[in-house]
Amino acid sequence: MATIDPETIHDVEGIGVHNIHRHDVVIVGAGLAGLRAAVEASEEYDVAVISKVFPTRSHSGGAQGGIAASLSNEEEDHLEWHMFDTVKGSDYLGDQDAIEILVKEAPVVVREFEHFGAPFSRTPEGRIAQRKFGGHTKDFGRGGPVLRACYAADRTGHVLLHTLYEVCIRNGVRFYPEFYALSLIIRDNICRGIVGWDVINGGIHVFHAKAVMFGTGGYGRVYKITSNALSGTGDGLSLVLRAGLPLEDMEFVQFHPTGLYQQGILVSEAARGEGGYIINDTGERFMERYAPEKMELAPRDLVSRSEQTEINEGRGIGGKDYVHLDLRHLGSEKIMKQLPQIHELAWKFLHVDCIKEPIPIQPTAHYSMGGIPVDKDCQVFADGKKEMVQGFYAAGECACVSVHGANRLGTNSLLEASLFGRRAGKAIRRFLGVQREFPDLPPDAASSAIEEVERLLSSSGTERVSSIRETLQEKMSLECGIFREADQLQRLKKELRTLEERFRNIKIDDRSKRFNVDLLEALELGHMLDFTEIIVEGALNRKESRGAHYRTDFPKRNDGDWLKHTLAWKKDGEIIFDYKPVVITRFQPKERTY
Amino acid sequence: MKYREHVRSGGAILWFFQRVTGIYLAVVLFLHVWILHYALKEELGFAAVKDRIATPMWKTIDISFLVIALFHGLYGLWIVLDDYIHKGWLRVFIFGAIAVIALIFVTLGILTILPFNPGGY
Amino acid sequence: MATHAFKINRYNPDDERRGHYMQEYPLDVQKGWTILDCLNEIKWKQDGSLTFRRSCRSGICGSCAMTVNGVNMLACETQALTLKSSTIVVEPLRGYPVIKDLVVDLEPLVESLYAVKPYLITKTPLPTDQERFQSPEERAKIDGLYECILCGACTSSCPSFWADKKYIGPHGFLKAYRFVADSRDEGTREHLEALDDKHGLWRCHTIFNCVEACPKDLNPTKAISELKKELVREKIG
Repeated sequence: MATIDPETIHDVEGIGVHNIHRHDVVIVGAGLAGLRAAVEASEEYDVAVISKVFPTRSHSGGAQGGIAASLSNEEEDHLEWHMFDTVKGSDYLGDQDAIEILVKEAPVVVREFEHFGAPFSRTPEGRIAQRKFGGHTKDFGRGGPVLRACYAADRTGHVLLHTLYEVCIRNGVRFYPEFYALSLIIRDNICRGIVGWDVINGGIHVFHAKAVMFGTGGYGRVYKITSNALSGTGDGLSLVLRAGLPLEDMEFVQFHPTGLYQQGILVSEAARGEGGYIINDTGERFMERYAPEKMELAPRDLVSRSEQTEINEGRGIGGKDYVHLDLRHLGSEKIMKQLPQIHELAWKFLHVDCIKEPIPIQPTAHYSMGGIPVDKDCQVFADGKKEMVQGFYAAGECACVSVHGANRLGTNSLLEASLFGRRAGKAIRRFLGVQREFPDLPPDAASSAIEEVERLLSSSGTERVSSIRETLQEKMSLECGIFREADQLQRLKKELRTLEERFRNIKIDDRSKRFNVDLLEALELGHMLDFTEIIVEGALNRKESRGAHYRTDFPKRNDGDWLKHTLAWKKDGEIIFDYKPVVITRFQPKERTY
Repeated sequence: MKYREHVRSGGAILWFFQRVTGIYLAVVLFLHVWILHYALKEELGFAAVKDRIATPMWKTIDISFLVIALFHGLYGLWIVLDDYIHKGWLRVFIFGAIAVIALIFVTLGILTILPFNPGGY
Repeated sequence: MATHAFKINRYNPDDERRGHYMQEYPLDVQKGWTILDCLNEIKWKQDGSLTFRRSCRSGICGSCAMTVNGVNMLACETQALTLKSSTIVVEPLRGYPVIKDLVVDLEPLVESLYAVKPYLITKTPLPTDQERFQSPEERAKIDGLYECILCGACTSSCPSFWADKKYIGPHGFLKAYRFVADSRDEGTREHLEALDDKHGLWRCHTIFNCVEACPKDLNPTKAISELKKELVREKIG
């Protein structure tokens, strides 16, 4: 797929690289955030998108249930209700000025998707259809669940991703599929481009740009059971760390309550939105003990914790580590019309016909609320708070605006990725209106990337990358999962040091340059080890329970000490923390019950 | 674009014509069999056939049957071969041969049907 | 004794002399393992140089289409034990140039996708602050079309594509028809333009291999016949 267009090559002396490509805007990541920004910026400028997989293979396509917007197509709904739900869902850690933007622009973004051609499901009147989702309620939580999630059967992420890819083709966006980002070129707080690796042919390429945007996604792959793709390794986060920038709120990792047993593959929340039950070994709908009002439609952190509690207390099915998602009462017609993909997944992966049998499920690592600290226009902070990096933007799961705070509501992620991707695109257009020149490219722009690839390609130790990664995933699931505790986290911290030691002694079997997945997996593991430390130390550092972060030794939320965002840097192997206040405008923190 | 090239084709009309001729051939073939084997009032013999094919209407039907059957079959063959033989002398030879065969059969057929004059026997 | 023997067609572009060859890996396949799990197990425990594409491992991204025991499928959603064979032969998708082992160059797939103008074309000005209306019945017309994941399994199984690498292929036709059939699209002529081509629609001989191969149970052949009718209507009226 990757052929190099000679017209985009400019030679700069002194850099030992294959090619230098020059584009006004270079976007890393071809998921919803990256492509939405590409659509926006390509209206006016020359945009290149580099991605380690072909664009439509991005994991946004795995999203199933819907995209939130208070369109009121099916019933009464208001921006303010959506805002309240998101703030409450975030356990009051979300910045309310950003959340206000999120809910206000949501209807615009969803309608634009329709205008682009996304094949949404429709109401009888021909409007975009909407369904219920966890945590989305009427009347500031006082009413029942509200129909707010706009959907296309249970393939919403797939249709939005493909629609954006199609619009990018229309707009002439330049794709570099199967290029892997190796390093950011930031000097004097000015972003000058990135260095990439051509996976297909092998070779270092420099992408020289006036503006760089990251939409590099999340890192579910540091856990053993995850809904994320094998490529969901959070590479962008450690690229940012390595460039000396901080990460925000990394201790907040969302576990989705309904992952296929042992596979972790996502069973959309739409299954519960359409009326599915979660059942324990005694046949009880146990959510009535944890969230008597909202039941299965409570937010994900709560449902996952409840499931895990049932399992830990021996009420998993047959005493094992799973519970049942029961859809049988919905009937085959509704299942096949509204949830066809879930039926297909349960059948293909577990040989369960969900029309006739309940689906075995367990919590699965799903989403990272934290990420690269950005302002409301998605420009990246140099210090996490005030100072900006010129020409560097981030949006989607890799970024932290923060609209999700300590816990994200279902359907708010597709919304956040596309909405802030769009805002990033608009901000880049404004920036390029002023910034006409390419920033200078330093002569050593590619040296760290070249060094990294050469070191890994020639590594001849004794450790297998896969065995280190497996240990990392198992330990993370066990000791930094749904329930966390100081002793465990301390142990894990030490374990991470050992893993880093082992990583320095790896060997790789494939030493060729072309399509070397062995090399990629080693690069990815290096990234994962880098930012995992921030997750673990952040979890250890935050001595309270809030949203998805639950400390058994500090089971209460502590607004007095901890109603603040964590910022974390890595300097000389040590983690340094700083904090910034949460923006609170309309909704004062209250106790969070469902 | 390493692979694509855009070469206009009149494919739509030929494809449609192939469908129409297919239907025509099915009908005429049915008629042919029916009239020959079932619709005869008298004994099947030279005289009966001679009387029938001497009429202008039957001359027209038979010529169209001949031309269309040949076209339909040979164009079908052409399409199939076109998938596999893209260039070179073999292509020139085979497609030339198809055209020549078509021409010979059409000529021979017309020469048989048109001058047929029962009075001469 | 391992339960299964995986015979994998390998090719290293840096070793042209060796060319394509079959390599056998023994593997103890556990219940529930997919073909992708097996390949990962081989790559991670036995031979790190074995190369294949993979990402979502849940049948939605389309990375891991390959030929297993002669049939095109997604490795990630095929249970190894359901193949009921102790020898499993894995080959790259047919018809595409091989880059390395099971990885093929999908450039022909992408180019023919671009050729059909794969995006909604509209001429009527868009409503402001509102979506366009589309009845559930109109929307249902693109069911079975919009679900395509661009994995390439269909086109790779198509004899017309084997014979002509410039052939647009079932995936391209399916995408074109996804827009032609969409009540909101006003660019039928633009989508069809590339199809009435020497390497276009008329090369389809309704062999139905694409229907057999599609891991998402879509029907490109039906889309093709609808497009043929559409083009004839346009040409003949």
